[in-house]
Amino acid sequence: MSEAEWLFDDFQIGQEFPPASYQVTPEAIAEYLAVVQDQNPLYYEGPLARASEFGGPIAPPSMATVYASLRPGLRGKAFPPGTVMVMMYFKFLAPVKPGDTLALRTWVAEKYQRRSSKYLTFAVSAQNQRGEMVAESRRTLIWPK
Amino acid sequence: MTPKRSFADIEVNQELPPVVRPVLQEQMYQYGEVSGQYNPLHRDAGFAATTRFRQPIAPGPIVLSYLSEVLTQAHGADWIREGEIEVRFILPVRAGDTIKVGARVAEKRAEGRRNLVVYEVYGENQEGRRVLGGWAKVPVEG
Repeated sequence: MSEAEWLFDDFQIGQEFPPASYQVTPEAIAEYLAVVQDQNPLYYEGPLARASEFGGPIAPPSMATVYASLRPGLRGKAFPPGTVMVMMYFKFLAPVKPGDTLALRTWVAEKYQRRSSKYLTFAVSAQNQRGEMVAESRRTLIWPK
Repeated sequence: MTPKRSFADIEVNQELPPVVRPVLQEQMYQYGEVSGQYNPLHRDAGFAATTRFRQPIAPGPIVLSYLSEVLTQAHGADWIREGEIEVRFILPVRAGDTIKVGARVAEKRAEGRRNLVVYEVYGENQEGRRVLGGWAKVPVEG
């Protein structure tokens, strides 16, 4: 029941986590779109997506918050309850399509304390199965313990 | 469907059409499922009551996605292929809040051989209080 947790003291600047991957299934895209309620036809199977310069539906760029999340890289231990996101950064580099398999690199970019709060900035980069970088991301969280 | 704004049409201080949309507790649950991150701060009122937020708050990525929608509507493939965005979360978004997110042109400039548009991006709640702020950059042809 009580799975081990990632603690602030477990992290060092520059620390890299084991490589991870994320499968961009049509179902995952559909579930993501249902949450964020984005109706852009670029993301849905149909004539408009097929006629686009991408030749078919793509994943919304903001799905990088899911496919380039920390969870795959930091697998094996639970997050302590109550992490608080204070900053997110994304650079999109190529469209992501259903069926893509993304290889993720995850590392610690910053670690500091300010006014008794503990801060961690993680970087996650994602590359598709053709070796193209599709996104770079950073997120800063207040880590509860 | 992938409208492209040309560089000449863009002026400093122009506003992109905002997205105004509620964030519901149901979305907060679902985001946890989709992302595989079950932070009780977003889904457990009992846990949230023990924190300084006192009630569940929305995952920041939901609001960030509304902003990316604004920029995709305006810039289509230019945003999807080469957009860049950084946001800071300033105030908590609570279940049932209606959030307005938008982008205002802060700067347009040539960078090397390319034209770049820099936006100030923002999100505010139904009381007009700023919940997030930041910037976005998109290279634009023409």
